[in-house]
Amino acid sequence: MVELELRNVTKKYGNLVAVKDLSFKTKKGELIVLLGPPGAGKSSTLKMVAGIEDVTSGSILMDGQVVNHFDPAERDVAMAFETYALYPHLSVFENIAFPLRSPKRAHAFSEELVRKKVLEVAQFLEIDMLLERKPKELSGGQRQRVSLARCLIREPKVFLLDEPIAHLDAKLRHRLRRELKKWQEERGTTTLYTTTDYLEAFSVGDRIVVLNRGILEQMGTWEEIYSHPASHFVGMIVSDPPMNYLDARIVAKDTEIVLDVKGSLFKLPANVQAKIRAMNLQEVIMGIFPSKIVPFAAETLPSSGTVIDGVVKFVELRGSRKIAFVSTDRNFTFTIQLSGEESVRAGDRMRYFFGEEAIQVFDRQSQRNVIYLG
Amino acid sequence: MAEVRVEHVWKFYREEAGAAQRVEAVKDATFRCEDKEFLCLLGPSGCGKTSTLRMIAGLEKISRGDIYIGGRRVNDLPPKDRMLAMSFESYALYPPLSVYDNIAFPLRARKYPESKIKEKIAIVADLLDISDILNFKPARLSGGEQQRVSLARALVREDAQITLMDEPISHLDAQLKAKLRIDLKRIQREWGLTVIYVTHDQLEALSMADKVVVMNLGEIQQVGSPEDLYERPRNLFVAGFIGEPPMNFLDCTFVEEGTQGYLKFHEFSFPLPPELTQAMRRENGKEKWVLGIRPGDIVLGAKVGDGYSMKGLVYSVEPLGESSIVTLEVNGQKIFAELAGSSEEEEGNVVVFSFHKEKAHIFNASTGKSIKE
Repeated sequence: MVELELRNVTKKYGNLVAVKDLSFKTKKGELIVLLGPPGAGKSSTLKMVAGIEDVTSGSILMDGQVVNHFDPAERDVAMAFETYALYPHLSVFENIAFPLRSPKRAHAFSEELVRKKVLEVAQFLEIDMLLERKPKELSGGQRQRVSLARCLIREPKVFLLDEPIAHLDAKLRHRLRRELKKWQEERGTTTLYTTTDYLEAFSVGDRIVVLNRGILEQMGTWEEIYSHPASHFVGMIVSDPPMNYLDARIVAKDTEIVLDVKGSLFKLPANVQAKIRAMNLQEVIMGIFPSKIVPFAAETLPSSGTVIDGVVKFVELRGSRKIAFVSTDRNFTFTIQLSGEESVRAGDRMRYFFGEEAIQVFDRQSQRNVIYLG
Repeated sequence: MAEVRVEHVWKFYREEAGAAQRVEAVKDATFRCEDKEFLCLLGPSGCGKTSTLRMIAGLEKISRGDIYIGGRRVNDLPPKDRMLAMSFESYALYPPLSVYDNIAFPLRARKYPESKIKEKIAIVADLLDISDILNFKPARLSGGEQQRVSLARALVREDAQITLMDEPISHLDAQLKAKLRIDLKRIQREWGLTVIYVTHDQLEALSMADKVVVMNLGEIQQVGSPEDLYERPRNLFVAGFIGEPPMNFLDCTFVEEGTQGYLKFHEFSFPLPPELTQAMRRENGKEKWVLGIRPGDIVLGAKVGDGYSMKGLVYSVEPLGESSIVTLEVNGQKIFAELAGSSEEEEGNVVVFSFHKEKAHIFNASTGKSIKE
């Protein structure tokens, strides 16, 4: 188990800055997910840790030792590529067994042990019936699993998994995201794992690094990220449907600071008010996750929080959930997540509620969540 | 605008090779897409959904059966006379033309005034987030951008009677997909388009369609609203294909004690209401049965009302933000439960879990059919 650290790492390809001043540190045996859209710098980061790309500036450390000048073999990391990179002339079996047959390791693995290990990982990834085939006879999803198997068969210091299950069908992806986490936990291997899918990130990651255009937007557990997304970007990427955003102005009301959205006032928790006061902010963005707005049926109005009336524009079924798009009487729109049991139809009038703690406030200029400012 | 009727349509490939080697890509498909309806053809690869769409478009010959658009039989009508707009998975953009000119192409061919073309392109470009690339040539675009341009070109054609789309957003990343699902549905409603949309992604179908035609191995499995498919799947294929995480399937046997019928899964017995007992007895009760339970219908902890309950080991807990998935293990079989919010369950604990009787889906294991059919 190693502790992996990136210190002010930057990667440039010509004028393009793929990774900008990236710093983070894993714990020993931790699985860190790099989450971000295509082009966020996830793969570049993995390649620099693997040693197949040089860093433009900054350092990569393993257990406190700078490894920038180590070649890939010396770093003892195993990487599964999104582009698979299989040997076309070798069978699936030989592709998976390949790392065990390298001159450095060959003496450690008898033919019998190689066979046993290949079978184990092939069964785990449901490719044990394909062992005699050549890569060209496989589908994209099958090739991806062979590439993953070739990585997992090793016992390196660090696993680097680049979108390892992105091209698999929904059912298998679903199973593997759970099983990969167990596999990694049992072996305690420090792992970097990339994905564009926040559900996958939440599910497998001990902690998550959210990347946007090469810059770290937030690092934390899924609870930290979900309860207080650090920026407008993070709020958008960790929710489907995305967070509701409304432009708001800061106004004083009695002794309090409240948000004004087109004349509707929203109260804020005390710590958020204090931040806004300290930073002297005027123009902000109000954000609320669709899952934190709930239908409101009681007769009496609650003492805190907000009750809003509106008309359902349309409803999307998502299996066990429904998404309602509601146009409020105050002329703004909210996306709301409801349970599948809720019977709502386009045209229905609806009253709904959210608590003040559900409101996130982002500085309009920097796009940062105000609770992290100052 | 117009409705589309597909009646007893078949598609054979390699027909000339003789009946033995004939490939039946579409088998006796019958369905109807109403005027201004959003219809999805949904199924795994090779199910016949694209062949069906291509026959409606006129790009493939209909081997047998009839297709009507707006009441007119179109079997022998060339594509250009069917008044269709199309956006296919392969983008088919004109390389020498800019994005703007690509989108304008079908409108210019129909002699729209340039001012009107400009106005329409501005709306659709804004919607699909391609305003910044209107002057680029296709070669400079990413796959996702090309796909959006192809989609824009289909959407500007409001004169078309029917808009046909084949996996139009499948190459996009998750965020853009989520946004486009909502936008596409909104445009379809606001502009009153009649859309036939092919996808392999059940979430796209559930979230956008008014009506879904589920296909597998060339045959229509079920036609219905998204709610119908989710709540009342007619067979094991539909039940397993719709919903994520997928429906749990438990292999059960049917036993009777006196007049009371039970579904048995290992040591757990679930008493059946009289009408189901009778129906299952009629269907030769000794056969194997499959009990289907949606992960979202499972409740952990106490037993729900007079529901069915079981006991199992917590195998794993996955947090997913607004919900979590707890995997339970009962006699070696994994059962998924999807819970709202986060879960306090710990791996290795033994828990009781249950579900309401009316949430049980029961299928005949040999025919695959739902007992409620």
